[in-house]
Amino acid sequence: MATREAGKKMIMLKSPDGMEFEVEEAVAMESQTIRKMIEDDCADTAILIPNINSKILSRVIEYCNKHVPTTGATGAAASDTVAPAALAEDLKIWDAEFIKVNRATRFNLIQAASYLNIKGLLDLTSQTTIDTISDNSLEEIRSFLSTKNDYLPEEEQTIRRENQWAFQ
Amino acid sequence: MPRELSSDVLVNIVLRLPPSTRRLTRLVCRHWRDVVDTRTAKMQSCAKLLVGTGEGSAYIVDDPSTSTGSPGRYLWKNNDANARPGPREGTMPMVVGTCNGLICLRDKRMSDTAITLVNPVTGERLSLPPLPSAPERTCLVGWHEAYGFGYHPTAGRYKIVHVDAYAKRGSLQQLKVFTLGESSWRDVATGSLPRCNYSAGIVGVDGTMYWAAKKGKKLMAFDLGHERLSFIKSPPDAPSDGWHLTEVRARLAILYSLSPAEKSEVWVLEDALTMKEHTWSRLYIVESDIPPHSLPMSCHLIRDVVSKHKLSNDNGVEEIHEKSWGRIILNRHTFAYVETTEPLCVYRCWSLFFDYT
Repeated sequence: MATREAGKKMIMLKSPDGMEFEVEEAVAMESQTIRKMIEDDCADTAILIPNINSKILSRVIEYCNKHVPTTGATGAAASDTVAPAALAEDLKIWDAEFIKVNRATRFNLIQAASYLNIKGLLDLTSQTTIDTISDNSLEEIRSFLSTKNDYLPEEEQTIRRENQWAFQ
Repeated sequence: MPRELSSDVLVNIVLRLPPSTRRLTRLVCRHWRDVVDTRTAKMQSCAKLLVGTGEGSAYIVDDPSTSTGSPGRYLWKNNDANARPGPREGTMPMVVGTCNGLICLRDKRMSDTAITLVNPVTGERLSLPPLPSAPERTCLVGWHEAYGFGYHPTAGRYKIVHVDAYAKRGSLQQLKVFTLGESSWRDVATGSLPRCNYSAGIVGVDGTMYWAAKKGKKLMAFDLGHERLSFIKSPPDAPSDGWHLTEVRARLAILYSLSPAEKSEVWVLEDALTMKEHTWSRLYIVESDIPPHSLPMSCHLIRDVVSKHKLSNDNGVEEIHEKSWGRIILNRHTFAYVETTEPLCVYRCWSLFFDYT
């Protein structure tokens, strides 16, 4: 931890499968849920994150690490040499790589982002899902969401009718 | 589903979808429909009357039942080149059709101009590439008459169909299709087609494009999903001409005048889902002192007015005795139009945002 300043506060995050992750408080506070716990003094030594396994939690932490605002000693040094626009572009490229995961992982990431209330990650994962939905036919959407069509043919016809804007 | 995604997450996703895609996802499964219906803003949008004039202007009548003959809000006037997203100076854009708040336009007089799509609510405008070869001179009143604009409700795709008047020697490809999101027009082989009765109109209803044959009392039905063509017989007692195709209650409707000439009938095509053959049922008998040739134009208005003047007779047919409704729209084309924020920029791949060049 050579880059870390001595005074920086660390937080322990625990996944339900028993893994522990030590992260900087600033990184953990990318999650509004954890921020609230910390601000309310509910976090002494370790915070148990329910429903998010270690594999997903480590990805979430990876995301927060990348996206934590670059303030403080190391951050200032970085922004002296790199223009903000370039940083944003760099983040976009990083995000695009980050979200190249399989469907199940993406769903888990959405759930985690929702529970931990990490807006950037929620936007990223949702948008990827939306892009998939917008570009595909109904059958492809169903298969992507691994769901079944549970309508009777008559019901489906009725909904098709309802869906037509001009139908009043 | 998405058991894997909680309702809160679903709402987050659904709220970001463009309006038509959000509607499309109601068909995914019951759970998703419930989310869309209960957790998002009201999905019903009131249909308004879009009127295209023969001179290339267009206006909206917000509530047709209360309109007393004055034109509504102008979307653009043909002599007003500054009306955005309206026409440019010297053009005469005619409304081809409208789906989900998008309006498809084609210039009436110029043979080589392209189709343009506009959404007057968002101000977006999109020009399509022109047809690969200019169509031959035909008996069209305006070039726009050879096009139809439709939306496939499960594929979620917008398509523009061009029906050629004559098959070129050795070619059986009279249909050209442009799918929004693709980069060029495609030929669709259909075999030999009867000549199109352009004056009856080319209309897209529930994922199918319909047009009438000039002879033989039949209709062509082109499935916009599978891009397959089939033929439909007209209602049994239909006259051989004077047809107008339109959409009534989300079904294909055919309107024609009978003798005596002040009487017209509106027939709708029943669901093919449960029937082996297409069947027609008579929805309205329209009696009016308006010249019959102007009646077809007002079919959407009929539908809107009739909902306020329902007079069912013993046969379950609704008769209309409303004498004022037709006058405001004489010699104009009417469409049921909804105001939405349906985006066009997602199809920008071949065109620039706000392309006025």
